[in-house]
Amino acid sequence: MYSPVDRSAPHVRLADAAFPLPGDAPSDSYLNIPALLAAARAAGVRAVHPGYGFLAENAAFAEAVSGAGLAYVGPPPDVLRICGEKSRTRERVSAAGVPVLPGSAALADDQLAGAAAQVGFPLLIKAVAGGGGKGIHLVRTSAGLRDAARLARGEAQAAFGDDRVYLERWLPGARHVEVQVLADDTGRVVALGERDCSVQRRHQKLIEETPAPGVTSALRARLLEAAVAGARAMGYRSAGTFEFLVDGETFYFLEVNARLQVEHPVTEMVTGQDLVVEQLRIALGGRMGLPDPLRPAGHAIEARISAEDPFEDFLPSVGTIDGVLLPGGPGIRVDGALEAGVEVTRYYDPLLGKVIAWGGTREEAVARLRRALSETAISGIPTTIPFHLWAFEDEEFLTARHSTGFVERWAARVRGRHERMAVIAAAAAEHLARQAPRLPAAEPSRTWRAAARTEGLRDA
Amino acid sequence: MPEYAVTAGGRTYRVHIAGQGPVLQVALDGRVLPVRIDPVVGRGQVRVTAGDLRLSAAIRRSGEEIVVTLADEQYRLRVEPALPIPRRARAHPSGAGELRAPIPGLVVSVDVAEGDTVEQGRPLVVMEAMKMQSELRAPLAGVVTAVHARAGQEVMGGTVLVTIAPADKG
Repeated sequence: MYSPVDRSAPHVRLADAAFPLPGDAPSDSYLNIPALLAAARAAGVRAVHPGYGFLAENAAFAEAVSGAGLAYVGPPPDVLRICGEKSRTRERVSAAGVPVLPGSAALADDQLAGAAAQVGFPLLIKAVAGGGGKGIHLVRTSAGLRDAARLARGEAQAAFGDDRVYLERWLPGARHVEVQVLADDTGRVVALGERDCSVQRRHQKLIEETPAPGVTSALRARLLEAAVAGARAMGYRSAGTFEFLVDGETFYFLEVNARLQVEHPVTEMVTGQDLVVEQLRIALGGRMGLPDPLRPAGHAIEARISAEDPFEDFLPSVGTIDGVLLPGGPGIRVDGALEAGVEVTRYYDPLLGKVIAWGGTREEAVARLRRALSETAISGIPTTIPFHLWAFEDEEFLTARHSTGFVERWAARVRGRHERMAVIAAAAAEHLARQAPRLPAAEPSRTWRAAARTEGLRDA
Repeated sequence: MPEYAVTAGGRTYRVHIAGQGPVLQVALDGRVLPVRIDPVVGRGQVRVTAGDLRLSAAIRRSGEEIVVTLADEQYRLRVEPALPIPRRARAHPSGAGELRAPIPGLVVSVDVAEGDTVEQGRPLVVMEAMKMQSELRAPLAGVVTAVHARAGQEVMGGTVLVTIAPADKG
């Protein structure tokens, strides 16, 4: 199923069958439940996989799919409802004995100041219906509360059609660690290891890896146990991610992502299991096929290639990609739909693709990923690749001492190493451009002038 | 041998270049290096070889500047022939006093009116693009002489949203 703006996208061309949706805007296409169900019926499918974005955590959509007699590849609607209200998820998981950060329920504007004083600063204003980093704003002092609430409500209304917000304490030096869970109808709940996703900007992830560096085996066992307890407490089914903030040996539950996540490939590469196949097994047969015990091996790391300009404070970029060179080699996986001619529009999230590397150790995985990214070339729009090339050589990242504030180091990094090379490249490019043949101008009088200029620039 | 004046940051380099490609002889600070620029993919991705050093680079033009991205660094340079060739005056004034849309998107709110006196950095407009909202702030202090955007309007990148007459200094 595709929006008219995506009619020439690779996934549309490569699909066995592709069904157009009514309009360009997301509300007319990927958020249009009646049109999606009509397409599913026309295609004669048995199951619907909601993907990562748009309706992926929407209980009404899951209900509509089941109501149409199709299998929904994801958690049941009541679980989606609990997970969709972040403040309710916190209550449920906390009741199962899992520690949570100080926070509030959904608040009206006039309740903000009082609740903020109770939660304590710094804190985050978060959209109740949030996800994907949207509707989250950091507030350091009470002075910034009103403006941040206004922006968070605006984003939440635009992205989720729900402008409710709540507060949650922010731990500046903490790391973002999440646990991948699979649960089926037989009551089996398996934690497939954790991922560290501390490298973020605007609360959206840029780099994810597993196992999480710096997490001791004792802490890992407690995290995995907490995620399994949380999943059981809410009757979870299918694939899901339990997010935690880790501060030393203590951790706090944040929220559940009730869907497959963008960063699931790192877990797949280390466990050797296909998470989407497991989701399908659970949706269609009620039972997962994971081996017991799992035998994870090595280390995997993912870099998200996003249409954002790291030299302009990660401002989203739009335009047409006019050339792509993707990497390969041992241990490298590339997920995405990058090719020349793809137009990056403002309709969607700026994520373009992901490069994932596996290695026997963290050092090997990072070295492979850096090598792969240095060979990756995307022409036409700025991407986050320069940031990744820097990160994978940064001492703090390489020694895994980084926290969620890591991206601030990018702005403060040492620059100027390549200034002479840039000067040479710019002069040479200008020189070659001046050598290139030019069409004569309309007036004949310009022709001799052009010839004279060429003469003048010729080698002395 | 053609000579160029290349300005990077605050510094100006004198660069002599001989040859017509693919290999150029480039003289910088008294050293001569063989230099070549080979296309990798698309319009802007190249491989630059200067002497023993090889780096992937993106080279593009942005107005009067050449923007060179090398690994994790980006340089904005101006390249002028050192022998003056008459050039037309710049078509656009500097653009100071204008708040422009940095990318195409939707104007969510306009929080300023004609005649308002604004401080530098005051949020004037909220724009949404790619599901993210960002505040656009006054580039300088002054008096708002025109508001060109309204909430709900879709704008192209570069569209002037607000015009500000700079405050008198002193």
